Amino acid sequence: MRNFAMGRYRPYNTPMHRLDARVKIIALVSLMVAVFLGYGSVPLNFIIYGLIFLGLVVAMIIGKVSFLGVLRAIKAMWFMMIFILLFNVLIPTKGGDYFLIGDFKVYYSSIYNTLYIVFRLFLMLMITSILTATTSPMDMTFGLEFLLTPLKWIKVPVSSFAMILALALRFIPTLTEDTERLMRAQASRGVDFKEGKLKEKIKSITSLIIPLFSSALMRSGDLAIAMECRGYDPKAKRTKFRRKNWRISDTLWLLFFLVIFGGSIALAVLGGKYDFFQMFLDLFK
Amino acid sequence: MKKNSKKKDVPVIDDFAKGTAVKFEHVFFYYDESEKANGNYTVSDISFTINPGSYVTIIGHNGSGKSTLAKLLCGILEPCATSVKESGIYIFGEKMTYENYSRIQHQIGMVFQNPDNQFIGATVKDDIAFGLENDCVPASEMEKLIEEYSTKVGMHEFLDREPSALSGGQKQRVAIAGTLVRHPKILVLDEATSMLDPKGKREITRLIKMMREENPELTIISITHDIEEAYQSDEVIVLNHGKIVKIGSPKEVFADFETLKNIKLDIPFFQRLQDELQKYGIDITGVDDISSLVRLLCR
Amino acid sequence: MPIKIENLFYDYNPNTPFVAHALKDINLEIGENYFYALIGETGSGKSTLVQHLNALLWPSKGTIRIDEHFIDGNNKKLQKKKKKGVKKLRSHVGLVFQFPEYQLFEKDVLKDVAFGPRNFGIKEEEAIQIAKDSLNLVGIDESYYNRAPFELSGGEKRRVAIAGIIALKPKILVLDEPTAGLDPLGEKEMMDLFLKIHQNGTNVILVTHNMDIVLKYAEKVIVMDKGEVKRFVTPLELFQDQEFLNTVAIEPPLVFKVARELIDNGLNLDLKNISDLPSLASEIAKSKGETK
Repeated sequence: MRNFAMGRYRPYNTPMHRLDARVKIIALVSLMVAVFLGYGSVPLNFIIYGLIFLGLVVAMIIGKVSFLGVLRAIKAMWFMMIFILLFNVLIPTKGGDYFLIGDFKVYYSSIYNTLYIVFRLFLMLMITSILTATTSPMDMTFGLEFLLTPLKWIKVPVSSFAMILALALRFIPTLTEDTERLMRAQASRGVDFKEGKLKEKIKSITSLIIPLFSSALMRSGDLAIAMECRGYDPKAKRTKFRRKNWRISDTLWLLFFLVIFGGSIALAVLGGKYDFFQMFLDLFK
Repeated sequence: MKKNSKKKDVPVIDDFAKGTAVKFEHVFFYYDESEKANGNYTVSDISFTINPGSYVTIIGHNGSGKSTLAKLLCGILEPCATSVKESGIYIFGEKMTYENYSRIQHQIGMVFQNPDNQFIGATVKDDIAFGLENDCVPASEMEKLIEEYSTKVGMHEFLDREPSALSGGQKQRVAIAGTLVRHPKILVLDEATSMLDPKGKREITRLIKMMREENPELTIISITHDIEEAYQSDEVIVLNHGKIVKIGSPKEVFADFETLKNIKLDIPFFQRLQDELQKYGIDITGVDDISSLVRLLCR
Repeated sequence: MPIKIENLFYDYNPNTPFVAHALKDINLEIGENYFYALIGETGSGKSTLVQHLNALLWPSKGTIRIDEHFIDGNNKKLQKKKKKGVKKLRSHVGLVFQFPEYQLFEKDVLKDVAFGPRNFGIKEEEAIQIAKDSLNLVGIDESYYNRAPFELSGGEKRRVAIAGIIALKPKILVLDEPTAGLDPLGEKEMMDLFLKIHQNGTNVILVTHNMDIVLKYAEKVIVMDKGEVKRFVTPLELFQDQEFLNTVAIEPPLVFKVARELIDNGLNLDLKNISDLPSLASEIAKSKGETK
């Protein structure tokens, strides 16, 4: 079932996959900003979140991103939703409208706040899973390295970080396999990963973590030697095999997301002063 | 050993090692001081010469110093200082030093034991490209080289595969391509087949044979447990406890049953068969593979 | 400890586009007191089958009976209750995975070996005693008891890991490629260890690619190919059947390869008399009319 895990890269050739990784990363950032801003009034917030949600659904369909993974993420969020709700309800708020449960005042604003947080987290999950599902790890590191280039000017070793990231991504499947094999091996020694008291659970986790660490260390030692033998020097200049051809559509999408970025900030700032939703309704009076 | 300064770096050929691909001259190595204090060097007073274009196997048990030797050879480890003036490692006549090792390293390709731990790129393509990127080969040329070398090792149709979708033998073939694409003059295989299944082993053995036919100038040094592979090589170096026990052609080395038995090494099949048939008065001296045996016995 | 496997099927990723039929209609009956080998190409289903023997995998269909344990893949309701008894089964069937040295994690060797018995509810002192006995059996002496597993050499680590499984006192010991990565000497020592364990009354099933080991140690050999059991015969019967070996891409030991080649080229050898190098030499001599 691992193949349906959320955000796992699936090598199709859709327009979403073809979009330049740099554009997709910028899109991620601007959408995140748009999602985390408040726009002044409750209905307007929900309208904007709803629009972003619809846009993301379309992107998922185009990019053949699995809905199953996202659905599973919602399932996992249940517990957190209730927790956030309780937290918001119990914290005293400024006031406003409320209803009573027994003697307890429940403010509508605390319910809205809970919904905002849940919506934002959920949208964020969708955005990241679309990015990771449609962008190969190689392209992703390439994009990040490119976008972080300015940091090189203040002597941050961006290329080395990009290499570290690429290697980490490359070794995720290998370490996953290691983990699975270890779980089976320890299960054969009577370890029960699902049940048992806290103390036993800590022991079972230890029986996984320690061997996993030692094998990861061994692998990285081997890898470092192999890399050096193929001429890798973190300080030296290297050429890049993967080149990206920037296309007109990339430029258009880049502009689009920059507009979203600027627009959402403007809307949020102005939203603090004017109630756009009310103004909109007033038009029809 | 890390190179820091990029001073003028011109090859200096020592007369004394001229014309050799690899020359070890009184090389010692130990990992920690306690070893040295006990006189237990991991590699102790090793001297040998390997000629360009030859296929040499190094055999011995785990812990005999084989892999340390490989790491010394490619400059990952540095031999310890001795009082002998010539002591050191010479690659094509040039002594490996702190200053020049990264240039010399370029002539040596290494393939290691664990197929997973030397797969650097995200896909087959990227892995073969890794060394080229380090050598600052322009991207336009890379494509062509990757095509050529992936075809050579029979991995052309897997160029976009990720390592998790490849067998051990296929990963090793990629490692060989990623090494050969940098045009090394010496290829070192450090137990490159020991973690493979029989099919993977056969693939690699066949590939090595093909590479030798295609490029007779390539010097191959194979560190191996496979006694049958050693029997097919030009020269065999037998190591035990960090010392050279025996060195010579396979015929010479494996005819010395006593020495091999003493250090508990196996004897190749055809050598043993020759010994057994001797008891019946049948002489198959000179036979070293199935086809020559067939030729001799089935006239 | 008899094993009876009937109509066993196993699918990876069932009900998805990625479905893979790893085991197809396996039927196998194994008696008592055995040292068997299980062979086949990578991906033939050996490891999958072996993991069923201690319920790490649960059959998609079919049943397995191991002594009093009954694994019923046909009864879907049972799936929920399957955990009951699984733990006991795991102490009866000890599974040693490939490169078992990677599963060591305790502070010292003795604790690591005692970890298994402790999981099965054995009191600490008794577990330590069992651990000492197991270490003794695999040839690890007292001086190692308090050393950290990471200080040991590769071969020693593997012995400790195997002691960790032996400490469960399994009636069947299943070994997946236990000699992988060892040098020929280490390989021989390891195999002699398993022979000793077998002589102490443990049944052994050995998964391996090494045909020389099969020839030398196994009483019978189970051959798997593409998820099916193709043969269950003695090693000699297997290696003398070249036509069959070709169909499953298994290369016999050199002795048989050479013998086959000589026969194909007209030398009059009786394959039935050949089991090792001296017997090959004697057959060659016979056909050449030479005697000792």
